[in-house]
Amino acid sequence: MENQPLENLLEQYRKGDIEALGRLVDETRRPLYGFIVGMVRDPHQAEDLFQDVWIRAIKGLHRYQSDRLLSWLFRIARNRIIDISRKRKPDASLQQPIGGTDSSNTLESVLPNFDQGPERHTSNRELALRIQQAVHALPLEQREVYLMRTEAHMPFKQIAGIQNVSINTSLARMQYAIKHLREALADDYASLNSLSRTP
Amino acid sequence: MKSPDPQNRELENAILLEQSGELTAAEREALHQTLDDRPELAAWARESQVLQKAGQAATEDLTPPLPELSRERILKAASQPTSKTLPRLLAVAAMLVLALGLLPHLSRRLQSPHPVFTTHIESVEVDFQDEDPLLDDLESLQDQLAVWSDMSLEDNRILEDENDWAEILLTLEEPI
Repeated sequence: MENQPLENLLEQYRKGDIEALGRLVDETRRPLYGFIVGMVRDPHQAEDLFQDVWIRAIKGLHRYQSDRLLSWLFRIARNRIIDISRKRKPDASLQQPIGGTDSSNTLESVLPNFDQGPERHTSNRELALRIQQAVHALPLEQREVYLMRTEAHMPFKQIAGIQNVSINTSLARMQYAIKHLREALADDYASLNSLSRTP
Repeated sequence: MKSPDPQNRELENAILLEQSGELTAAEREALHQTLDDRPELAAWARESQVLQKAGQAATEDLTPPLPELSRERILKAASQPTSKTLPRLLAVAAMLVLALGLLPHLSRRLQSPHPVFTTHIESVEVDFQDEDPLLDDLESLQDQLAVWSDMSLEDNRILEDENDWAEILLTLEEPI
């Protein structure tokens, strides 16, 4: 996501245009909400967290001096998620490797194509669930990097800044995330791999 | 898929950086030349991209849209005045002064030579209501507090704002 339009909207909001804030919320909805859902997996909790992140951002706006609003929002979201996960007991079942036995689902089928019929949509959903479970089984830091890349298309330099680590650490986490997903989705991967060779 | 040696790891880093658009044109070209001679790394690059697209697609497929109500709540919160920081800081400072002011009185009371069970309850009550300097201190500090924070202590907003205040303290950990 481009930084400049967000910064322009933020500037308008700072000048008192409340509708500019509404547009900012809309613009950040997809990446930020997607990231939070991916991290906590509960859409209701994600919704509360999304609101909480934005309200905290608004209240702390006088301290915001960067030109990377999305990074700032992600940083707030990340801190809140870490707080929550510290209070929660680990769910052992979520740490189990995921791998289905049905290889008829392909990545192609889960890629967004809303012209497809309801039967196709159901199989999409099953594969999507397995992918989401595999993502959720990743260790927290790897999941963060993976979701910041996939949901917000954030560059690694920015991700490293949010995670407060070197860019090499963020890259290593992404490598491990890919390795773990590859293993977890091994049963689906034969189809996924052949799809990836398709031009 | 697995590439334990450091050189491969660096090339995988370069692949990830290329996918995120963080390589220069020259670096990109050098990487592509390398991948031409390293089919296993070219395969890794494709797999990495497929797995990233898969995650994105799964989110799109499974995540319900964010309810409109959330947007409304955020806008409502934003339209409430938020510049209460200074009065709140003054209120906290006044509370600290109050606590420090009370400390000697309390310690004197605790160190009183008269055992509690021998004190006549009625006389204590009269003392406290009519003559106790502690009460005077409390009243004067209460007045000061009301002036400093530009709001009455009876004002329910103070209680309502406690949560907000706690939130402000929490968000102090999140500066850019």
